[in-house]
Amino acid sequence: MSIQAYIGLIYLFIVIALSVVFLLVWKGSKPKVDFERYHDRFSRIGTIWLVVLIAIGAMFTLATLPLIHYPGVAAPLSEQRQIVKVDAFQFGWVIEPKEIKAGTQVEFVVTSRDVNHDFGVFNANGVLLFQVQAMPKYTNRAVYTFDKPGTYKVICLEYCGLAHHVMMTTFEVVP
Amino acid sequence: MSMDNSEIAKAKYEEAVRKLVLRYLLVAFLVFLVGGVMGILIRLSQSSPYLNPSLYYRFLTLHGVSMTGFIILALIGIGWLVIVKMLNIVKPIWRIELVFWLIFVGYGLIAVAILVGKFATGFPAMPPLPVISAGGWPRWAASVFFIGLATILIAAITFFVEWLLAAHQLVGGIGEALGLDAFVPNKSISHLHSPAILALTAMSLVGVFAEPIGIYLLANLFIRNINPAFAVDPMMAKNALWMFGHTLVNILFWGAFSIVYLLVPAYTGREWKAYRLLVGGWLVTIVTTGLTAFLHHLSMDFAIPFQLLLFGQIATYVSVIPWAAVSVYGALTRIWKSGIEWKPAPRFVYLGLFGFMIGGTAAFLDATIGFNRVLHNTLWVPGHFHSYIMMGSALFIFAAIYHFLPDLAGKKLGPSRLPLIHYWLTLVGGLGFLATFYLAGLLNAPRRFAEFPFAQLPQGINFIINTSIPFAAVFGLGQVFFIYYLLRTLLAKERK
Repeated sequence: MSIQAYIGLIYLFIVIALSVVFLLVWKGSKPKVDFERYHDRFSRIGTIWLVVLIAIGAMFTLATLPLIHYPGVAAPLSEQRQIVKVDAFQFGWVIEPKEIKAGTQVEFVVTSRDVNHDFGVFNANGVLLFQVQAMPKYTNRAVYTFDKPGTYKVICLEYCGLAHHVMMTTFEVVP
Repeated sequence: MSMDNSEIAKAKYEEAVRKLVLRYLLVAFLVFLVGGVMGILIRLSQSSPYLNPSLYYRFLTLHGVSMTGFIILALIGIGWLVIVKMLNIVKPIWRIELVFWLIFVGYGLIAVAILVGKFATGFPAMPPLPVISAGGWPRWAASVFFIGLATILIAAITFFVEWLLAAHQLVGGIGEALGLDAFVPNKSISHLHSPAILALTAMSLVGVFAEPIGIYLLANLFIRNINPAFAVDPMMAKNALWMFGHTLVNILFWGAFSIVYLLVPAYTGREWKAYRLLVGGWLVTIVTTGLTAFLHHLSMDFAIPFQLLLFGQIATYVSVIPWAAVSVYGALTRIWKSGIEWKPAPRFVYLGLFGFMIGGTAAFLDATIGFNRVLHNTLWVPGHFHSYIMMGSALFIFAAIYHFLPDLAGKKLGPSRLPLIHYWLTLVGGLGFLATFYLAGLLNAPRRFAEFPFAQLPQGINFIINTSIPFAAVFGLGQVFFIYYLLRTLLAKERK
C-alpha cells in the first residue's frame, strides 16, 4: 500500500471520529444541565485525552521515521550507492546519469541554477514516490531505492514561474 | 435629562468608531469578493484550461493576497471594536484610520503589481522567484509588490502595538495579559475576564517580533531587485519567509479564535475564564506555533540538518495539544448540555471549530516528515489551509459579524431565514470543496499548476477537480446571501 493510501485511511478515520463527536455534542447541547454536574468528569476525560494525544504523537514519530528519505535516517548510506546529480533550472532538468540501477540505493544530489524547484519523482502510474527541494546555491541530498525497472517521471513541485507546470522529464531505471 | 459635554463627546466618538469598523468590514468583503472570483476563475481553468499561464498565476496570486487581506481587514476591524466597546479603551480615530489606509494602499499596490505589472509569484512568494522571473514580469512589478506587502505588514504591526498598549492599560502589563499570574502562588487572575485577552495578546506579541522579519526580507529583495549584485542568501530567505508568513496566518487565526472565547460563553451562559492550564497552553502555542513550528515548511529542504527538521515536526505535534486538549475541548464541553440556542453566530463558531479540527488533523499529517514526502506541494496543502482559514478563521469572523451586527448597524435585523441559508450553503459547499482538495492531493495532484498533466497522474483527478466547482459555487452562493443580508440590514430604514 502506498504512503498516500495509509494517510488517506488515517485521515478518513479521524474525520469520521471528529464528525461523530461534533454531531454528538450538537445533539447533546440540549436540554440544559448544570455545568457543575459533570465538570469533574470532563476534567478527567480531558486529562486522558491529553495523554492520548501525546501517545499518538510519539507513535507517529516512531512509525514514520523509516519513511524519511533523508540520507542516513531510514537506513545508513551504502558504500555501493549510485550518485545521481540533478540540476534544476527554469524550466527543465539535467539528470546525470539518466540511467539508474534498480535495487541499488541511489543518492540524488539536487541543486538549482536559478530559483527554488522541487524534484518530484513519480512512478509510471503517476504515484508520487518522493520529492526533495532544489535550491540555488545549496545542495539537497535524498536517498531512494527503486525496486521496479521502468520509466519514472519527474514533475517540478515548487512553483518556479510561468512554465512551472510543464517542467517535466523522465529517467529510466534498469535491472 | 440632557447629556453633558463629555457624554456627547463619548457618543460622537463611539459613532465615529462604529462607522470606521463598518468601513473595515465592508472593504474586507469587497476584497473577499475579488478573492472569491479569482478562486472560481482559476479552478475553472484547471478543469478546462482557458487562461494563459500568466493570467492563471496572476489570478492565483491575487486570490491568496485577497483572502489574506480579507482576514486582516475584518479581524483588525473587529479588534478595534473589542478594544473600544468591550474594553472601553479610547484609541484616537486617526490611528484607526491610519491602519485602514495602510492596508488599503498596500493591497492596492499589490493589485497594481499583479494586474498591471503581471507579477505572478503566487502568495506567499518564495524568494528568489520574485526577482528571477524568467521573463514572467518586469522588475518594477516586483518592487511595487514588495512595497505593498511591507505596507500591509506595517499596518498589522501597528495594530499589534495598539493591542499591547491596550492590554497594558487594561491589566497592567503584557505578562499579566498573558495570564502569567496564574503561576504565581496566591495570585488571582480573575481580572483577565476572558481567554480572548490571552489570544489577542499572544497574537500581538508574536506579531511584533515575527512580522518585522518579513519587512527585513522584503527590504533585502527590494535592493536585490534594483541591484542584482546584491546577494540574498536563498536559505536565509526561505527561513525568513516562513518565519514571517507561517506565523502571520497562524497569529491571525489566534486573533480570530478570540471570537470563540467571547461567543461560547455568550451563547451557552457558561463562563470561560483564563486558568492555569489554559495560560500554560497559550505559552506552549507561542513557543511552538509562534516561534518554532514554521520549520515544518522546510521538511523537504534536506540541506538543513535533520535534527532541525525533526524538531520542527515535534514542535508542530506539540502545538496541536493546547488546541485539541484545552481550547476546542473547552468549547465543546461548554456547549454540551448548555441549552444553547443555535442562532447564526454560535452555528458559525461551531462549524468553524469543526473546520479547524479537520484542517489541524491534515496539518498534523503534513508536518510528519515521512508523510510530507508525498504530501508536500500537492493539493493536500491548500486543502489544509483552506480548512483553517476558509472554514475556520472566516467562519469565526462571520460569527462575530452576526453577533455584533445589531450594535454595528443600529438597525432592525433582516429576515432570519437568510443566515440559516448562508449557514447550510457554507457547510455543504465548504466541506465538499475541502474534500476535493484532500482527495486530489492524495492522488498526487500538484498545487500551483495552471494545467494538470492528467496523462502523467493517476486517473480521477480530472473528475475531482470538476466536482470541486459546484461545491465552490454553492459556498460562494452562501456568501452572496450573507452579503445581501448585511446590506439589507445596514440599509434598512427602520432603526432598532
